[in-house]
Amino acid sequence: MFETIVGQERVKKFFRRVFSEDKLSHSYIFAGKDGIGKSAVAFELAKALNCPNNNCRKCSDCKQVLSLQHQNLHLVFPLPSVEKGEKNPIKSLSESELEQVKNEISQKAKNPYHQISVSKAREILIQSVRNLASELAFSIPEHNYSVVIFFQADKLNQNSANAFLKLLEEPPQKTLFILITESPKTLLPTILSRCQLVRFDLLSEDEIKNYLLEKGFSEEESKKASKLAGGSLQTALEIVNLDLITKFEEALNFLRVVVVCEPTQVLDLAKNLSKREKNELESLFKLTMNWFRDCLLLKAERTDKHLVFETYRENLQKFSQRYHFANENQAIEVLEKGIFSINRNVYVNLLLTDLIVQLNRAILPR
Amino acid sequence: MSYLVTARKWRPQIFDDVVAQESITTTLKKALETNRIAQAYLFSGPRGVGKTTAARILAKAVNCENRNDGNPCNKCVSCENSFSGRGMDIFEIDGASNNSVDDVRELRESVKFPPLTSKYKVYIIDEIHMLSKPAFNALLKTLEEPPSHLIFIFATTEPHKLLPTVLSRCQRYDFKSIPIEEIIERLRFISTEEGIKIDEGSLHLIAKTANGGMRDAQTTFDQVVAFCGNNVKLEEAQLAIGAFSEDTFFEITYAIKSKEIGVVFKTLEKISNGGFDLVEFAKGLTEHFRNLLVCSSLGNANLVPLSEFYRKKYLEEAQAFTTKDLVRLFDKTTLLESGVRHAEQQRFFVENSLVQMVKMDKGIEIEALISRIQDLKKNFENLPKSSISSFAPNENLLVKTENHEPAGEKETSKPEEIVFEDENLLEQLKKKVSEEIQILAQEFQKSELESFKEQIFTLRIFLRSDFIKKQFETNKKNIEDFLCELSGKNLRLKLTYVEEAVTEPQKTSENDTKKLTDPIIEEALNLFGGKLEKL
Repeated sequence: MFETIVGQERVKKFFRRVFSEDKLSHSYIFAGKDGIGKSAVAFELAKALNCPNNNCRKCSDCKQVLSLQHQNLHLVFPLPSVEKGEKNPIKSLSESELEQVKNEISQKAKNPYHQISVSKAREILIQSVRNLASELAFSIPEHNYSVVIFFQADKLNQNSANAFLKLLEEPPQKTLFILITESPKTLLPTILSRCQLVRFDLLSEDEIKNYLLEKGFSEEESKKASKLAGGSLQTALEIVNLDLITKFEEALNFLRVVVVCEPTQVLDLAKNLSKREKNELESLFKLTMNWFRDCLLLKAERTDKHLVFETYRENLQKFSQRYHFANENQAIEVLEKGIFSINRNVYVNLLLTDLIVQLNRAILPR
Repeated sequence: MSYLVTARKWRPQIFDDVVAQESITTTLKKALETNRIAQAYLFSGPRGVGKTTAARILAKAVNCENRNDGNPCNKCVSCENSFSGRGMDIFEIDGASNNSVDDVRELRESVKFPPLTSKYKVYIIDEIHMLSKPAFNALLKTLEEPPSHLIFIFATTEPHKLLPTVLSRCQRYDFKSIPIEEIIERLRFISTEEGIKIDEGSLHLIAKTANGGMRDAQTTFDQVVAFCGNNVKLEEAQLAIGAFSEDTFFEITYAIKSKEIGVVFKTLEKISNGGFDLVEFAKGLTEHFRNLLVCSSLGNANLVPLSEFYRKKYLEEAQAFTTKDLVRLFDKTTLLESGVRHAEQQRFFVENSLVQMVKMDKGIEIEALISRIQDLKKNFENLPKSSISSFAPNENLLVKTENHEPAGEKETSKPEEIVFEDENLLEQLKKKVSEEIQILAQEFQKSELESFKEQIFTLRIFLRSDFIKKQFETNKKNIEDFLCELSGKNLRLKLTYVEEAVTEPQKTSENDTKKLTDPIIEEALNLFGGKLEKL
């Protein structure tokens, strides 16, 4: 059990114990950051509960679960809202949307660390919950176990969450609910109190690095990506495909402009950057944030810790000596605010100009 | 039968087992005994305190053939039937799924028919708050005057969402959250019945995290038992729940006390590697400072909801901080707690806030500061007159604290006096000059204010070479401009030059050095930052 899952030793130990002592509850909340293996564990559980010969990975049951096509496996996730009166939210999808949903599910089957996201989908609909209730009522599996997985369970809205309560408390026999969420605290207290909360850990740098090495990435690439991933395997996979050196250089260039703060340069840079994709800017901000955090770490003399800008350690040291009075905390706050507002509708050019000036003030306090 | 979670397995079946709601269960039992059964009940209260349970027991009890002191017997046919879910006369409806007006219309049709086997037909509607407004209104008439065989029991966590017209038609019972002790008692009972060994600390921890909900407690209990097996110890229980031990927070206060930023990073590393939730951490930290504040302001730890060991520790730790500082830190943590939920990079956010807390300077109480100033003032006034007059001629020191008139007035009355404002002006001027005319920066820094009267600002410049003198002369106009700009008045600048050789180090004779050590003068110098020129 759980052979293919990276890290999460505590969770694995928990479920092994639950199985050996036959103490499986009927409802769990899997809480933790995206891309660290919550769904992967959920799929493994579904497989273990439905395989007639002790989790063989070869029988048709196992294969069906792994391709997410097993009849006992119910997946619930946010869908675009439906017209009034329509009972089945899947039926009211347009052809292209249906295609997208299918595509997302098959991607999820290939890589459990993938995030399912359907465009225009904001909430888990009450229709989905009602559908689920009737499906479960009619399909009482003889030998097997119905496993219901909610992705982004925090997207349950007021109506759907309340409609789910009775089912969640006393489901039909042999039913397992798994609610996957990044932020369990946003769920209704009535839902929380009905489920066991299983926390998932961020993956360690080594765990991510080894996974990437196995996938055939180079030592250097894996090392850098694992440092920047922030514990998420999915993020690591995204990062490793980018050209990291240019990213670093870009961040340094950005800092250079910030330090000099010469008006024409600032305006040019802001103009150029504002043409970029928002997520690229976000990763630039995050990287710059890491620079300041590294400065703090250097100042705190936590040099045993790995710095993100390890390869630029010299520059880092020079920087923190030269700008001895720089207020890193303020800089981090400014960047945090920048990330916050860039994801909302702002005029990027203006935001960038202001951000650069503010950063300059943080580095060179008057 | 397969494994059933504790909350379902141990759902109370008689009123006497319902924990911590005695006022409600006694009332209901008495009502049953005297046969004063209302047509509609509303059970409200937070999650997991026994609303649905009480509703089910009540439904059983009204139809039970041989009630025992108001409790259902759980043996007669009617009880058996409802226990196994075969009863034809008890309906449990999910209000959240059947919330439309059509559902209520259907319900109204079905309530007309009399019960099949028992005395009453009971409708339990759970999550009643999710009924739509038209649905509520459609229910009103039936609710007010139902057939005599009909009983409604509503259960909800949010009674404020109900229409007042509904509320007024029901007997309302508000269930309260369950105190920690009662939760512990019940869990202890269950664990002995199930043959599970569990230590007091874990029970306390589980009850605390449950936050007043019995179901929360039992769910957590299941989880802990599943994680630790049949012998539960506190350390393992903490790991299973992801609760923080108090010691983590003491590490943070240690970092603040000793101003070690490194400790913050180390602690946070530990936390995020352990898979702990930073929001939980922030919550715990707020609680931690709240506890410290309680200890510091009350002087005892009776209001700290923890074991004796930690109470003592809190009381000790609180000594290291002043109450004012704790208030500020507490303030910071509440900000941290609300901010971390929305932070894009939670870890950075927490690190950042904590580093700021570590960097925060100790506060000084304003009262203390004022009394210190007043003491100084008193000392100053009490000085023998002669000692004041001895240095009265010295203009630089003639700044009297008791003289609190606005600066402008003072200038007109005693223009020759050089007051604070002028010294200030000089400081500003020096700064400006050193920024703008760099060649003069060094020399100008050393200059002193000679006099300031009738709009003429006279500066004494100590010179080393004629070159500098020339530079001063050429730049005099510029400096005058700065002066006007800074003071906002039309002033004129006059420069007098002194050879460097006669600067004060040599001027200070032995006599003066002796006087310099005079405590009064020293104090005055400390206070006003002036310069002792001559005595």
